Amino acid sequence: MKTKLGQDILCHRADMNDHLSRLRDKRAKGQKLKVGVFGITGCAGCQLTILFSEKFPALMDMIDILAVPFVKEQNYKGHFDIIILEGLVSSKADKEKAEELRARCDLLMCIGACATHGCVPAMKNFMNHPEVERAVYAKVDYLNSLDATPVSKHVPVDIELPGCPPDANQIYAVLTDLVLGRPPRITHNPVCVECVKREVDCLLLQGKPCLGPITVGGCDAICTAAGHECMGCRGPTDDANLPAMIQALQDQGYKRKDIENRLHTYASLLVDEQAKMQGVKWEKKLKRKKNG
Amino acid sequence: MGYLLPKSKLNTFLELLMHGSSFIAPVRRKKDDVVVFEELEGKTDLTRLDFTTNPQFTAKKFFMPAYEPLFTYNMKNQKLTDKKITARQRILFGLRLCDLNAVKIQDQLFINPQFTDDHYQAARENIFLVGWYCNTPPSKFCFCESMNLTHYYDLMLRDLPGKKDIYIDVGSPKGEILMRKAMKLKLKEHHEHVPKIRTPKKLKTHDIRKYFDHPKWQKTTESKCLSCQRCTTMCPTCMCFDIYDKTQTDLEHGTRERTWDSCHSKQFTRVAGDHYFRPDRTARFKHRIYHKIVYYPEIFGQVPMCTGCGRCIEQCPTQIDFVELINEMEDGK
Ligand code: SF4
Ligand code: SF4
Ligand code: SF4
Ligand code: SF4
Ligand code: SF4
Repeated sequence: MKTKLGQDILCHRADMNDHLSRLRDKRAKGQKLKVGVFGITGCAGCQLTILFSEKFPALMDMIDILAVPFVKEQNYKGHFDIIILEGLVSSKADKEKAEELRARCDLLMCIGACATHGCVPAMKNFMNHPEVERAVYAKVDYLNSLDATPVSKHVPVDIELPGCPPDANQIYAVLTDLVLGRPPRITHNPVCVECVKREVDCLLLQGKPCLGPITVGGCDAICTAAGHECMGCRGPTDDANLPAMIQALQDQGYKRKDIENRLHTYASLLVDEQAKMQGVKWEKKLKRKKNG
Repeated sequence: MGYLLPKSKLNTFLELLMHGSSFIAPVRRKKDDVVVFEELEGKTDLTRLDFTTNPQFTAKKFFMPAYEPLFTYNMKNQKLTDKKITARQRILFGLRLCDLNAVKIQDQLFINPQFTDDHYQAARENIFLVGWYCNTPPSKFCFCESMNLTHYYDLMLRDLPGKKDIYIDVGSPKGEILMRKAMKLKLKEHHEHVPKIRTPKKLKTHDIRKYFDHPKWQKTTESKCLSCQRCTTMCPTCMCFDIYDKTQTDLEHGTRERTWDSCHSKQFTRVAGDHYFRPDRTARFKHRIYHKIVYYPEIFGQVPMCTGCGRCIEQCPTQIDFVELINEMEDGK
């Protein structure tokens, strides 16, 4: 099953091979790739995942990081080989920024659940915007807020690495692949696979509301290995069996309303699209509001 | 051929076996009490042994780890270095007959005249298999009685019901070698038949080709299967793997690794051109069952690839029971 916003666009560009061979050429000539790290609406946690990783010094040797407006005042103004983008489009300014950045790079790599599928901010699409805004900000007239939507809704995206926060090892592995000019290896398998490989006693079977079976892995089952059920931050797999997941949780004694809330916490937009395709009707009043 | 070991001497016997080898056995994991195969650190760990439960996770990781480096490479000088395969002697103790037969199935595939997997073989050659006989099945999901198990072990220990002894059945020359470690116990030679294990749960037929288009497959998978792949990842006989390179950030050094993969995964069926050759959930579920019960025996003789350990049923988050499913088809329900 393909979803428009879904995992099938993790690495989807038709001319990806041309780009990869160009990246290989650059390396053969001894040129480093020009990379920028940018953010639009988000919590900056994804950018910090890169900056705080112990591999960061090695990354600096591997590529030229010419722009990180989040921590640097002077930033390169030209064209990049790769732009790493955090955050989603939630205002007019975000949309313009996303369009500008898209035009300024060959490969656009979105990191984090906000950028890839809307994450927590997308919950506001199910509420009344003025009410949400007034609850959060003292002054609201300058906000120009839009529905919270992933970057791929607005501009073509080449690579998406989900997660709240995304996994540093996965980001590094993909960057290494790109520098070497090979197609990045990104798993589409659910969290359960990594969970079993780590020999975690299944939390779902113990009655905890784990979303691991329908959630894209790549995090090495970090939550379940620590005893916390998977909350689905990496979004549903392109193959998620929603009715069966909901039924499994109901069989464990969870209320339909709570299950629906949980499914909508990190991936409301994707889950909604899949629900439509699979004929799942929400019992709770989860309706997209007509906002900006 | 075999020996009688007084039950009171079991610990001494195991201590003697442990001497000089790595000793792996079912123990209760400290953090959550789950029974797993673990390498014991010393004699004191023998108190953590568990004889009542078949470990939740299988012993296949000792033959082919979940993530296994195959070789390292250096792109600068174009050199490959084979991963040093450790030749340490390992004793795997406490495998049930089902898991011992799982080793047989993997042996048939990875060590055969047409093809030998060096890494598997190196690990396998240094492993001694010491089984623990099931007087009663440890789980209600066991159905090994229906799976044509054979006596595939170096030694098998059977706690003789109502007697003071454990019968040690020697199943191979390697088992005889291992027994030399316990020479000073001066065990009495003895021979008796190791009986077939009886399980209340049974698979009524292996002849399931005729059910290939049965509507029950689809009904069950659509309503229950999450395609989570727990079943295949936990299965002691599943042997599919994926291979990839892990390059270090210096871009010169790297490791080629393999990791377990699964036919339940949609990505597993993805080939060039973004084509999925088995995109349908039911087709994937069926492929697992048919590989186990039909395709494998067609290639390797009449032994199915499923040993009846029951893990894929007990550990499926929605408890899909393929044995029940086939039985219902057979009963015409
Ligand atoms: S704990 Fe969650 S992620 Fe892990 S195997 Fe169970 S359902 Fe899957
Ligand atoms: S399946 Fe058979 S051999 Fe395996 S644990 Fe159960 S009873 Fe023992
Ligand atoms: S464990 Fe169960 S739900 Fe998961 S893939 Fe296997 S049969 Fe399907
Ligand atoms: S298919 Fe299931 S019952 Fe058979 S060997 Fe694998 S895990 Fe055990
Ligand atoms: S094809 Fe499927 S059932 Fe067969 S060994 Fe591979 S993962 Fe297991």
